[in-house]
Amino acid sequence: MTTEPLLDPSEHDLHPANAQPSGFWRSKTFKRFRRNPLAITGALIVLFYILVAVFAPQLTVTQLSTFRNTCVRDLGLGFDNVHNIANPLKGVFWHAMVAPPASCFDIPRASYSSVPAPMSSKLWLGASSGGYDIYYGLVWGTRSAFYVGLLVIGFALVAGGIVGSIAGYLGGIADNILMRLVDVIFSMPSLIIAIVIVTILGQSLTNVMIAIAAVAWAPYSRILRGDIQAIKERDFVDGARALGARGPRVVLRHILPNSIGPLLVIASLDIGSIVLTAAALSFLGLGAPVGYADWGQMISFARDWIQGPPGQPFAYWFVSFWPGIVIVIFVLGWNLLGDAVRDVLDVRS
Amino acid sequence: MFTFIIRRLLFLPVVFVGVTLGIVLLMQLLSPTQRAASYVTSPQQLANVEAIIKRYHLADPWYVQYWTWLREAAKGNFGYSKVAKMPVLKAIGERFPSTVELALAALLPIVGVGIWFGTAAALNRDKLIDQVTRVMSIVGWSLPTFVLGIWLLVIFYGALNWFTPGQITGKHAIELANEIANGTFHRYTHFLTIDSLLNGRFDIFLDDLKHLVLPVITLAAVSSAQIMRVMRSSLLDALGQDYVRTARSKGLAEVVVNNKHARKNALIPVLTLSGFTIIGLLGGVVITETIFNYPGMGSFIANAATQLDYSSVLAGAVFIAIIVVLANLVVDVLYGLVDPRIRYN
Amino acid sequence: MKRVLILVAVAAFAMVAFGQSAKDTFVWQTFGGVDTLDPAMAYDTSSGTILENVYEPLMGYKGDSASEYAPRLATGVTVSQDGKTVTYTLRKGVKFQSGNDFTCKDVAYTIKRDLVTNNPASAIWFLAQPFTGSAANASDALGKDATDADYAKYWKMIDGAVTCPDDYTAVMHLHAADPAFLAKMAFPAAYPIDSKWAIANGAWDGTEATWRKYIGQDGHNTYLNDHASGTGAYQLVSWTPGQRVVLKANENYWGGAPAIKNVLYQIVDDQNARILALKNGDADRISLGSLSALSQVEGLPGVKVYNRNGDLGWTSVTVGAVSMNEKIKADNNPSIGSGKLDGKGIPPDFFTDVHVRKCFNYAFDYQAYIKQVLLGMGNTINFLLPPSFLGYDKNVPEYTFDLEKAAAECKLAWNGQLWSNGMKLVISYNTGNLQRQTVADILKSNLEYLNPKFNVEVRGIAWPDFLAAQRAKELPVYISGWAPDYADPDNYVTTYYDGENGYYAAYEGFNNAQMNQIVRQAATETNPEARKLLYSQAAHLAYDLAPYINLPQQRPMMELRSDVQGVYLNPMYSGQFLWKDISK
Repeated sequence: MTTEPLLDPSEHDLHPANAQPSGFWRSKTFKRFRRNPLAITGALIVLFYILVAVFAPQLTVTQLSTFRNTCVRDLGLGFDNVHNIANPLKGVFWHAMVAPPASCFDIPRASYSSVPAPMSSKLWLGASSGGYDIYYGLVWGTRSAFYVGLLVIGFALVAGGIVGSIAGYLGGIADNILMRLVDVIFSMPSLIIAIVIVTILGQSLTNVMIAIAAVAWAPYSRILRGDIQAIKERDFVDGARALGARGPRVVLRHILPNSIGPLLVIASLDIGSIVLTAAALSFLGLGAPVGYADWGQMISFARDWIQGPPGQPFAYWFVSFWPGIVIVIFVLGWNLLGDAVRDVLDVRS
Repeated sequence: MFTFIIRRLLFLPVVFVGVTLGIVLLMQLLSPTQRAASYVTSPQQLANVEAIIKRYHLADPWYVQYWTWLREAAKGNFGYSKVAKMPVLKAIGERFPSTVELALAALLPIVGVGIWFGTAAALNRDKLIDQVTRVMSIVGWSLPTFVLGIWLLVIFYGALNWFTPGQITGKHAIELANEIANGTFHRYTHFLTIDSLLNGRFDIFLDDLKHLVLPVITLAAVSSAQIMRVMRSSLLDALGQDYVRTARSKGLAEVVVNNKHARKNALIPVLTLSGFTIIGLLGGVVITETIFNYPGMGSFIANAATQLDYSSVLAGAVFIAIIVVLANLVVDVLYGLVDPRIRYN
Repeated sequence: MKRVLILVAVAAFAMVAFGQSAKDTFVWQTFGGVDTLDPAMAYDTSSGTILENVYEPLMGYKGDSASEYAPRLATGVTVSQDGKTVTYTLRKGVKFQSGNDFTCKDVAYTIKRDLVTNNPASAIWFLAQPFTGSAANASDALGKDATDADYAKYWKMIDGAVTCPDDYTAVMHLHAADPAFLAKMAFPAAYPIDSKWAIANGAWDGTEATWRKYIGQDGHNTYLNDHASGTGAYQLVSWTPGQRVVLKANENYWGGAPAIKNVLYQIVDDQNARILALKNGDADRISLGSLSALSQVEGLPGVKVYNRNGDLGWTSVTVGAVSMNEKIKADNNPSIGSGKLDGKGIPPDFFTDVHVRKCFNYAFDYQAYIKQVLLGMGNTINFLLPPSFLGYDKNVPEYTFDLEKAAAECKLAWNGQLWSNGMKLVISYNTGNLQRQTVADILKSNLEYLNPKFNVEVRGIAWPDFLAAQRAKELPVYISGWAPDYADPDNYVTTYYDGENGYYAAYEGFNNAQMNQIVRQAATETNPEARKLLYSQAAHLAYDLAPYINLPQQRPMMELRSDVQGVYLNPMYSGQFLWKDISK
C-alpha cells in the first residue's frame, strides 16, 4: 500500500522485537516514522487515551466526590477524603489506579430521571437518560475499552499461536482440519459470529470478550502458520533438530521467537478495531448492563434522543455528540498509527 | 477453473455442518429452562415453563435436537421465527432481497466516489485535491457506522426531517398492502425497487430510494474511504511502472496514458476490494440496518439475537455463511476473467 | 368482491389525493409485533388488539368498565345456582366474515378446540381450569403412562364441556364453580371462530378420531395463524408480520358498519419515527415505549395526550413488586455470599424475619421513583391489586419512605445481629428492563445509606439466566411484574399471596396459612360484598407481613391526534378501546 520507494532490504527489519533498542531508535525505519506528521498525530492520540485510561480515577475525583458512588466506599474512603485519590503520596492513589474495585466502572447517577440532563457545572458533559454522568462514563469507558482490547488480543494471540503452531509445525491432517475450521470462521461476517455467541452465552461484557476473541484468533493462526512453514525450512531449525531438539521445543525455542515479532505488532494495532467491535455489540444491547462505563452503550443511549422536544431539535445533542466524538478520535488515532507502522514495516495485513 | 469451482462448492457442506453444529453445541451450555426463556414473554407464562420444555423437546440430548433439526431442514422447515412471526425460511426470503437492494444501492457510490477521488488524488499528487482526499479517507475510515448513523439521524431526521428510517412510509405501506391483497400489485421479484417499477408505481420506487439515502451515505463514508486509498496508491504504483513510462515516451497524450494504460491496471486491486466490499454488504450490515430500522438480514439477526430467537439465529447464520462463500466464489471467478494473470490451481 | 375492490381503490385514491389523515382511516403505530392471529395461540397484546376487533366475545365489557358485561354475540347469560352451568343465549342472524352463519356449534367448536390444543405457551390454561379442573392439556394432565382409556375419558370431558340444546343456546358445563368464569370468557381465546371455515382450512375437525393429534398444537404454522374469519366489525386485509396489519370495516357487521373504514396497525420499532408520524399526522395513535419520550410529544400541535394529569381517572392494571425470597437456595448459590449473617453475605432464611422485610419496605423511596422515573405520573398501592379492581381497599395502610423507621426495623432484625454485622446482598433484575434496574439502584442507595456495613450489589442478569435462577430460587431479591389475563382480583392475589398455588408466592417462599385460607376463600366466594371484605382482610395482613415492596404504578396515558373522537380506556382490551367505537 506504500507509495514511497521500497526500502533497502537490509534495513527492512521485519522483526523489530529482535532489533537492538538503540539501533531501532536510530534506524531509518524509526526516522521515517518520526518524520511522518500523521503517524505522530496518531501516536499522540493513542498516548492521550492511554493516559486517560491510566489516570481515570484521578480524572474523576470531582464526580466521585459529588455523586454517591459505591466506588468511593469500596476504596475505603469517606466523602470527605475522596481527594486522596489524586494524591500520589497516599496508598489509595495507587490502589485506585492499579486495581480499582469493580464498582468504579458503574457510572454514578446524578438522578434517576429518564430525561437527559443538560451540561452544567456539576455535569460537565451532561447526563443521559437515567441520570448517568456522561463525562464519568467516557473516562472510565476508556479504561474498560483498553481492558477489553488487551484481554481479547492476549487471548486471541495465545489461541491463534497454539493453533497456528500446531498447524504449521505438524502439517498434514492436523493442518488441514485446523485450517478448514479457520475457513469456516472466515466464511462468516465476524460481527454475526460474535452476535450468535453472545446471544447463546448471555449478554454480558465477559461474553462479548469471549465472542470477539473466538473470532479474532483465526487470522493470527493463519499468519503464524505461514511464518512457521517458511521458517521451518531455514537452516537453524534444521540445526536444532539435528542437535536432537524435539517438536514442541523446536517450536517454542526456535521458531516462535522468530515469527512472533510481526504478529505482536499486527495484533497490537488491532486493539482499535477490537474496541470498536465491542462497542458495536454494546450498541446493539448485547454488552454490559446499562450503567457500566462503556462507550458503545453510552452512544446507544442516544437512540432514544434523536429528536428534541417540539421546537428544540438539538436539545439533546450532547447525548450523541460526546460519546460519538470520543470513539471517532480513538479510532482515528489507531488508524493513523497503524497505517504508519504498517507502511514502515511493510507488513501485509 | 472448473475443478476450482467444484472444490469451492464442496466446501459448502463443511460450512453448513460447521456453522450449525457449532451453534447447536454452543447451545448445550444452556439449561432447558434457559432455552425455554424465549417462549416466556409475559409473566403469565412463567407457570408453564415445565410444559413448554416438554412440548418443545428442550431437554432432549443435543444429537437428538440436531438430528431433528437436520431432518426438518432437509424438508425445507427451518423452524418458526419468533422475531419475524413467520417460518424462518420465509422470513429470510423477505429480508434478503432488502439487504441485496441496500448492498447494490451502496456499491455504486462506494466504488464511484472511491475511484473518482482516488484517481484525482493520484494524478494530482500532493496538490490540494490529494490532501483533501487523504484527509477524507482517513476520517471516513475512522467513522464507526453506529456513530455516523446516529449523527445523520440527529441532523437529517430529528432536526430537518428530510429522511425517515425504515423502508417505506406508512402512507405507501397501507396502499401497498391493499394492492397486494387484491392483486393489483404483483410481487414479481420481492425486490421493492424493481417490483414498484414493474408495476408502474414510481411513487413507491422514489419512496424506497429516499429511505436508502441515509444508510447508503453511512456505508459509503466508511467503505469508499478504503477504495479511495487503494485506488490512489495502486494508480501511483502503475504510473511509475515501465510500460507507462514507455507509453509516455512514445509521445502518447497524457490522458490516453493515464486512462488506457495506468488506470486500467490500477483498477485490478480496486476490483478485488470491491468484491470484498459487496461480500461484506451481502453478509448483512447489522449495525447500519439496525440504526435505520431497515428490514434486512442484518437487523433480522440482531433482533433475533436480542430476543433469543434461536431458530432464526441458527438459520440466519448458516444462510449468511453460504451466501458469503458463494459470493466469494463468484468474485474469484470474475477476478480471474478480469486479470488473466490469475491461475486457479 | 367488486364493490370491495372499488372501495379500496377509492380509499387508496383518497389517501393519495388528500394526504394521510383521511377521515375514515385510523393508523396506529406501535412496536413489538403481532405474534399470531389464531385465538387459541395468541397471548400478547399486539395479537390481542387485532383479535378483539376481528372476533367477538359472547359477553363483552361494557364500555370502559372491566367489571360489567354487555351482550355481544350472546344476548344474555345465566349462571346456575351452583355456578357450574352457564347458559348463553346467542344472537340470531349474525354472519362470519366468510359468509357462514354463526350458531352454537361455533361456540362449542371454539371451546373444545381450545381445550384440545391448549399449547403451554398459549393462554388456554386459565380457560381450561374451570372446564377440566386442570390448567394442562390432555397429554400433560394424563402423564406419560396414560392409556387409551384415560384419553377416551378425557375426551368425554372435553366433548361434554359445551352443549347446544338448539342453534342459539350454548350451555357451558364447568368442573367447579369459578367466579372469574365470565371474565375468562372475555379473553380472545374464547371468542367464537368460524368452525366451518376453520375445518375446511385444515384445523382440527372436531371429532374424537383426530383430537389426539392436535394436543398441544403450536398454531404458528397453520392456516388460522395468518387468516381470520370472525364476526367482528373489522376484517383482515393483510398481515405482513413484523411490519403491519391492514384491516377494513366489515360492512355487514350486525351492529352496523363502523365509522372508521380502514385501519393500519403498523409496527415501527423506532420510537422517534412514531413520534414524527404522530406529529405529521401520518399516525393517529402511537405507542410510546418509554415515559420519558413524553417530553418529545407534549405540546405538538394537533396531538392530545389523554390522562396526562390523571384527569380522566384512568389507572393502571399492571402491578410490580420487589420480591424478598424467604427460602433462598442454600447450596452452591453465588448470590448469597458466605451464606451467613457475618457481613459477607446473607443466610438463606434471611427474609423470614419480618423486621428485615419491613426495613426494606421503609427504605424504598416511593416518591422519588414516582417523581423521577415515572416523571410524576404514578400512584402508590397498598396491596398488589390494581385500585380499580374489586376488593382493593384504599383504607389499608401502606409503607412510606422513612429511613428512621427503616433503621429501627433493621436494628430489631435478627436480634440486632444484622445491624452489628452488616450484610452483603444481591438485588437482581433482568437486563434491559431499565425501570427495574432503577428500582434496584434506589433500594441499594438507601440501604447502604442506613448502615455502612450494608453492602448491596445490583446485578443485571440476561433473561434466560434470570428465569433459570429465579426458578432455582437462587435470587434473594428481585423485581417482578404482573398484568392481568382476565379481570378478576384472584388473578393477582393468588399469584402473589397464595403460598402454594401462587407463582410468585411459591417461588419466593412466602407461605402464610392464614393468608392462604383468606385468598382461597375469596377465590370461590360468589358474593361480591363478602369477597371485598376478604380481600381487605388480606391486604391488612399483607401490610403486617410485608412480603413484597409494592412498587408504584405508572399512570396509563394515550397519545392520539386530537381529531380522533370517542377514545376511552378499558384496561382489559389489549388496544384499550375498540376501533368500531371511534370516529374522526
